[in-house]
Amino acid sequence: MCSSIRGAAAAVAFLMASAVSSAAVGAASVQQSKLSNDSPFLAAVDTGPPRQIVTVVYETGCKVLPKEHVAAASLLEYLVLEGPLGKTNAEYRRELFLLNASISMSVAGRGVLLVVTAPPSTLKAALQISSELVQKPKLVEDQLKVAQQRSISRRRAQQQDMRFLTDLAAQRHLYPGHPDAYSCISKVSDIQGLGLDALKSDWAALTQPSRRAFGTVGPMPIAAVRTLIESTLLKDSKVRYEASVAVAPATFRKPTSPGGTDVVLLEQPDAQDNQVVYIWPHTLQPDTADYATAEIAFTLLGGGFSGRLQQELREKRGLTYGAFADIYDTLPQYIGASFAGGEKVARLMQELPQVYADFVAEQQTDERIGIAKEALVTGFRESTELPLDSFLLALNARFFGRDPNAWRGQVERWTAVTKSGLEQFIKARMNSKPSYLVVAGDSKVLLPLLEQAGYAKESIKTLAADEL
Amino acid sequence: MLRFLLKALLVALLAMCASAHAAVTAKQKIELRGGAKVYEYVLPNQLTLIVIEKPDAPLTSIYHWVKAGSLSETPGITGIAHLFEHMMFRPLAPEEPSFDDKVSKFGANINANTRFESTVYTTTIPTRHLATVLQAEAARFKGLKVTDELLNIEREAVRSEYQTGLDSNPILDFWYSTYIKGFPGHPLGWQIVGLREDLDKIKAADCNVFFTKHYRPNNTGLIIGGAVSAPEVLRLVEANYGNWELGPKLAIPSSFIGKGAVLAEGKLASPARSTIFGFRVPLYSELDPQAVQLANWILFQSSYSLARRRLSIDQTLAVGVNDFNFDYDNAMLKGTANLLPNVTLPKLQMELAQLGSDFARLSNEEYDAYLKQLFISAQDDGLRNEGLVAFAAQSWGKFGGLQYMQNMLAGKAAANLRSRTKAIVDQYIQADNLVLVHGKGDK
Repeated sequence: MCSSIRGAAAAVAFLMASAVSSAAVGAASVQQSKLSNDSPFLAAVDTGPPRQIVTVVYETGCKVLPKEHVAAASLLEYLVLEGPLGKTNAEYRRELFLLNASISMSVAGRGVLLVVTAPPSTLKAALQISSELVQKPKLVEDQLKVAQQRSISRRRAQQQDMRFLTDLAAQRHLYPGHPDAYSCISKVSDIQGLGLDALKSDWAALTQPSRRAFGTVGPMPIAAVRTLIESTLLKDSKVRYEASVAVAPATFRKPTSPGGTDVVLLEQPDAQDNQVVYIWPHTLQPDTADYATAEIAFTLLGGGFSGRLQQELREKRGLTYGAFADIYDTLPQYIGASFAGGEKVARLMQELPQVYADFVAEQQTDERIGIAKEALVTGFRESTELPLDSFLLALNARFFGRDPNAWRGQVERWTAVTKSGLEQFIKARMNSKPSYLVVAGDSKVLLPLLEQAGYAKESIKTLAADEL
Repeated sequence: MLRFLLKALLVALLAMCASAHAAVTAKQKIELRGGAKVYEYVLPNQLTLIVIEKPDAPLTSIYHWVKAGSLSETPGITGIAHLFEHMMFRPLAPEEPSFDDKVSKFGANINANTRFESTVYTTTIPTRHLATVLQAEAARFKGLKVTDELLNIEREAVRSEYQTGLDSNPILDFWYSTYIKGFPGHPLGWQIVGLREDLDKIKAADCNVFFTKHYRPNNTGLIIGGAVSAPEVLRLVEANYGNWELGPKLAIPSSFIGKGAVLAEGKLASPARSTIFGFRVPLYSELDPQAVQLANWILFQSSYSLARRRLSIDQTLAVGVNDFNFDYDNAMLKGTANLLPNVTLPKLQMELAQLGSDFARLSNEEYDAYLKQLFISAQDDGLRNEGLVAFAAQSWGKFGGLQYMQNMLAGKAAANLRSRTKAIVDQYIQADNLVLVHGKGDK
């Protein structure tokens, strides 16, 4: 969708992931101000890259659409990026190419993100084209058929990735109805069910001019970009900005199984590999001391090569190629994931509870805690090297309703975590029994194994990938 | 006494002379846009050291580019190079900590990848730990001893890797098949991970022979970049790697000679009708580096690539039209796409066969725009310290020197670039040189 520049692609991927892993932000200055219509404006100067990025976030998203219109997201992404009315797709693409510019758009649960990237010399022209795209999208019948084909094809391609499917299953099943669980990924049947009239009204709802927040990062002076935005994107509509209604926090669906663990089995007939994902809910707020403690705990459990899961499951037991743990904030959950093929999956399922139980029971050492902290800080430095990183992370925080500046104490928060605090956290909040177990693979293999591992038949919900 | 003093004086003088002869000076120094400086040294044991001084880098990255990939293997033990990607992180002796244990306490981010022509080891660390980490790095590159126990653990990890990747993901399955079907009888045809039937045949002794032969300073590039000082890094590298013994001079196989269109079915079905298609070319090291990169850019990699234009923009035949794995692979310019329901494989073959003609029709305006886009993309890649180190490593290891990086980051086209790119396209982007792999059962 937006392959021509890493920064813009990262922005899209970053903002539109429904479950965004906690990340820290660098030290570059990100200015917050307002444009002439009161729209928020985040801006940073980054003299390194040769191109300027301008972002427009429409604070709308699937949450403003009727529930059965979720597929509008993926259809509109195709339709709108085919070029504005009056231009063929080929003409539009060629024009952008010769400007050395790119325009991408993604629709997520709580917003639409438009990213325009261009060298300073052609930025104005690229912004004008993006304005045309929004105001005059090519919502016509023959294009809709093509968009449906393309959306279905994309969905089929996504379904080829088992990790993608387990994440999607977790989002959809654990947070039913929450906007952040509904990004531009939709069922094939939903994609086929939407007509042109519905899409036109959906597009109007998604691109309300009063819901726009702007941003920019790149080599140009901030004032110059502000002027360009005012004279292009705001030129035709200076409607006042109205703050978006906050999205209610996502609520984790409580398991109903008497055993305490609900199981979701994603049917992948004849799969040679299996995914086994443990999931627990949490209610921690990002950028807090508790969250920092959780990040260290989950780094110890499953961060990189030295994490406990990797050491136990791969290094000592040879059961898996990879195993990791992570903590997510937007759809709050902790996960521990591992993969195993063939006969190893039986052992993996049997032995996993003990691996988790041992981790919870044992005392943490200062050395291990120190290693986890160093790993987090190294990752922090690596991911916040450029002003672009600071900008994207500030934009992300704002997108999810958080303080764009809350990142500034990240390293200090990790440093302040104590051994006793960490142990208390692990004992109180981590458990060898997950609230949900999401597995993907061949049900002929997995169902008997799940029952052997003590999961009652009635606690297992089997889903086909098409049902997500 | 006098004789003793004279002898001592002579020894001292000789030592000074030896030291003067051994002093390593930079073979070249390059100043990059943004203030980074690149120094290239060659140590007496022929280890190439490239140091990138980047004063604003938050961390230091260390790349070891060992010119020992799957092309260095011999029939029967294919996949052995890839096993080293795993084994190099293991303890050097039973009682020793692993490399990971030695460096993770510094927050190191470590990884490795195997390619056709090389295996690349990457470590990123806080700069203050460089001296200690280089000791651990040098120890593993000089002293790995593979035992049956070590090999068996990693053999299982590789088996699991097959299941997670090649047995489960259609795209990886097709990638594997592309080389197997496209390069019959040539080492490129046993793919980077090797033939599965060979995995159990590899013995610890084979690994030690392979290591002793290939993991040598004259076969390795060490690239270090960060807020470091080149002379200080040189001193550390001399101290830790100076006694690494020179190995035999090695050569990789010559390029595949052969043609004939290949239409092959992967092992897995693809509900998305994914395909991988490519045109065989010589090993990149035998081609003009910038020209082969530009050819791939225009054909497959650009957001407005000729393949995307033909399959997705000018017509509606496919979605997800992209380049596939150019940076890691070799000897093939290739792309991937998901075909729409009514598009047949012969139709796709026919369209792809036209890409050479599309290239020939490029206007000067279009050609210039592609070139500019490519240079901007390269500059984006070099913004981060780790990206810059990776760029230097790739330039040295895959494209034969730092000139490629220097030109790409400076936005400088080599002389006659367009005609040299056209020559590659004219010769290799032909219908009878196309390799196309699709999903099982796809028609």
